[in-house]
Amino acid sequence: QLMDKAGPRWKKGKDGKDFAALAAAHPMSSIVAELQSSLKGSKLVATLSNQGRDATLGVNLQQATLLNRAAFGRALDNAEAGKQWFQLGAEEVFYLYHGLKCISVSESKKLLSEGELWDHLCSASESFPEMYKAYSHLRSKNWVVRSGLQYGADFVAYRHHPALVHSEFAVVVVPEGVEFGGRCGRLKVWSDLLCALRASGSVAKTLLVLTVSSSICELSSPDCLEQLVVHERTITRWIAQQCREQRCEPSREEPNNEEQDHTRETVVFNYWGVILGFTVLSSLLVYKLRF
Amino acid sequence: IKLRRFLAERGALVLLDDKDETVGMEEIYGKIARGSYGCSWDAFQAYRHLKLLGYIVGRYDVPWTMKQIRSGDVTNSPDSTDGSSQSFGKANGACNDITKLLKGMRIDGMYPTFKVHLPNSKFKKSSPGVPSFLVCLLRDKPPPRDELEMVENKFGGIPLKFCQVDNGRVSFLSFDKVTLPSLP
Repeated sequence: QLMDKAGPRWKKGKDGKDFAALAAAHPMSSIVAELQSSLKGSKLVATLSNQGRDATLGVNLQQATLLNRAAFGRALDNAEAGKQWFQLGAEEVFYLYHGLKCISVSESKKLLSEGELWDHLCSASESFPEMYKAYSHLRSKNWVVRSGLQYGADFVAYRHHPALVHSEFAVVVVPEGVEFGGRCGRLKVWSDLLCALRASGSVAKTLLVLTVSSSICELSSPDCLEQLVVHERTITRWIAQQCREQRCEPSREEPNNEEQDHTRETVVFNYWGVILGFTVLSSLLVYKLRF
Repeated sequence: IKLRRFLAERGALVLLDDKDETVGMEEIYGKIARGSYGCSWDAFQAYRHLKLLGYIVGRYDVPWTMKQIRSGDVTNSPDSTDGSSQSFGKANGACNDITKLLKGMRIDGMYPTFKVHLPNSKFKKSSPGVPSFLVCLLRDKPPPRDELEMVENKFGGIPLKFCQVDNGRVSFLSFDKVTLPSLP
């Protein structure tokens, strides 16, 4: 089942600029490809923090623009002329290193091998293997992936740059399989699942569950990434009241119907209250000015 | 069973036991609680929710009409304790015989409980057509991925909705398998 039902919500530009067209004219794949070749050419080295969760990368201004356009990392405020520093998250570092193969990574001034980098990232975060697999799965389809923690999710996925479009999905990653050990996976109890559903709905995103499963695969090396399989599923709430006609579109998570009606009523009431109040006030004003 | 209960609750139906005495709501609710005839509170509440909205709901494993039943299991002698030979409109006498089928039927959480059609005044029990969707009742934990796949494969084609009942609050969820498109 292809995911085009709800459709992307493009933001509105100044002077009615058409962001959807802008995005179409500059596909994410070409922005990322440009970034890749630019970084590769400069043989840049990102510095991993010794906690292993973030890295910093210094780039020239042209590369900074590309990093921003491709929505990787966060630009750091810095007065250094001609150079821009970026902070990259664990998945982003590994994607640039392993996925796009356009940077190297060092830690304590020593260049890290692929295995060493993997070990560092895994020891910093137990769930790194499945998080990275989910991240690279979406990125390789040219979705923009950012942290979703502020929405109670692991990631949020955008159809293009976050400045142009609202994110459609709140992504929760669920590991499946003995290899992932006794991790407390998400969505194992109703309270958690319905909480995630509610949280994503309140910010108008569809809850996308990426289950990362492994058959027989040791997670100790990045070679396991090829063996991991990502299953995509959405969890949506179905409102019986709204779907009594034929060809009903499943809605994004909506608040409980009672609340919805209440909210609607309140909004309508307030709207008329404002109109009424305004009318009264303006009449008073006119009255006062006349006399 | 559910239809009778539903109608009884709405005061539209009076159940008579085999002594021709009225069966009160207390007894009816008692039967639901005991899980008699494979009917549970959750199932009943889901049924009720949809019926009140006008959907056409039937038990998945029970045919719409008796004309579809050919097995010899069906008897006409009511030795069931809530046998009602009185029918008021929709509570047809077929319920009697259907209870026989329901007795002892085990309802697995990941097996559809209901088949549902959209509200349709032209609905015919003799030729109901394909259900608009099937309803599975959910248990105490969210369904794991492999169980979802198994149910989907068994009833391929017909959309599945999953019903979770919490203190009278009936929620329907869809766990749709999707494929995110590769973007340009």
